[in-house]
Amino acid sequence: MKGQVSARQEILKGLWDQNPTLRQLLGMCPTLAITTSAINGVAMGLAVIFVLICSNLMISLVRRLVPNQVRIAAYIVIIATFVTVVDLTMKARFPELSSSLGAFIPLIVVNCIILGRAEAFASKNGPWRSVLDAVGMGAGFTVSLTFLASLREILGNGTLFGVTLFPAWEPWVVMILPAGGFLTLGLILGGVNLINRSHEASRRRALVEASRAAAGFALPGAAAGTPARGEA
Amino acid sequence: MKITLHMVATLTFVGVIAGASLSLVSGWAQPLIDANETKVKMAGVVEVVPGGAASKPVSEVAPGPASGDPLEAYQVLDGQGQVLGWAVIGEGTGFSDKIRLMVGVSPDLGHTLGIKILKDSETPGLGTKIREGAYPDQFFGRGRPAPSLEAGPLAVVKSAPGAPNEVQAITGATISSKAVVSIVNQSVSALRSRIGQGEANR
Repeated sequence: MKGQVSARQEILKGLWDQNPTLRQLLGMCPTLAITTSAINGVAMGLAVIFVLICSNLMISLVRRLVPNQVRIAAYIVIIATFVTVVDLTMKARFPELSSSLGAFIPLIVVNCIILGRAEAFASKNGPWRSVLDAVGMGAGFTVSLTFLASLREILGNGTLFGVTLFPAWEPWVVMILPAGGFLTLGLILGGVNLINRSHEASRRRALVEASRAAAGFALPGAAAGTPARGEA
Repeated sequence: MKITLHMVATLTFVGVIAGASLSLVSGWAQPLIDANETKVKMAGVVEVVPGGAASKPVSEVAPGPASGDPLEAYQVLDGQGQVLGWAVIGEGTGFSDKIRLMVGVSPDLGHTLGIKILKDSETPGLGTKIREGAYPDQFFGRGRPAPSLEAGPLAVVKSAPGAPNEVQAITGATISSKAVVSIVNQSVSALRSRIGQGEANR
């Protein structure tokens, strides 16, 4: 696996193919809870990126020194340390943002994305690749959360990043409530699956046609007479 | 045996490093966090008593118990040292969690001057209307005279208020509206009994 994957792919996989929120469905708790305004989504995402990069780097550096039996305990202590640093820094520098994200900053400690990447990637790969992985995964999380939060803020409040978009808009309060979070996330997940499925289908069709052409399979009249079967 | 030692040593080392770095960060951040809280509180004091320029804790005006004073209130003065009113901090149960607020009261405790919600976890879009808009405006006396505290505690009504001590609830957030009013009532009566005591002792 190493050597084959370029640095660019290491970052890009987190944005779409292995997007932690939309493909792996990890870290759903903050995803649903704090996406009531776009600024919350960005702030949460940046906090996670910071913790992810620091913990992935640190865990990758100590991966050969930590005995297997206590690795999870050691990882959690390392992650909790970085989360506390973020929490204290936000409280000191951005008190308003910190109060609107509430308990969800300290709860990054138990965010499955962080421990998931530590266990699945950083504990098996070198520091440089672990940082790239963290950047990609963190960016995927941030983009997904910001997108979800923007939709909810626009529909539920008529604003985006606090700027009023439609003065005459009667806000759909439900979009800000938990139900709106589930609705929006469900629709986005459905949309992502739809896009992936149609990509997959067209890729497969292209493959089938290429192999037919190569084997000289193009029977005269077949294209016009028989219905296309590539869809199944 | 060797692996046990290795495990203990690793976790101890990780723990010590983590603890040391956190104490460094905390030493830097804690003073800033405290300063932020004081700043928010002082800004609130001046906000709930319009025109306020300075304030002093209630303990300087009407001394309470030496330690563990349950009442947090400030006497608010204007630039010339004239008493404009009081700002009292109160806490109580809201719809989903504690609500913490600051209410401004006139010097004779006759009516409210303003209100500021310091902390709440009310339902976004419904209960959070206690923070700004028509509901808190009632306590500032915008639109109609501020609710009077002279005839007894404030009361919540669902339609347009008639009596001078009535406050109109937020549609769809009656529990939050009632919680705020009951915290205001408690805070004012706590302040009233403290000031009354202070005058009796004098």
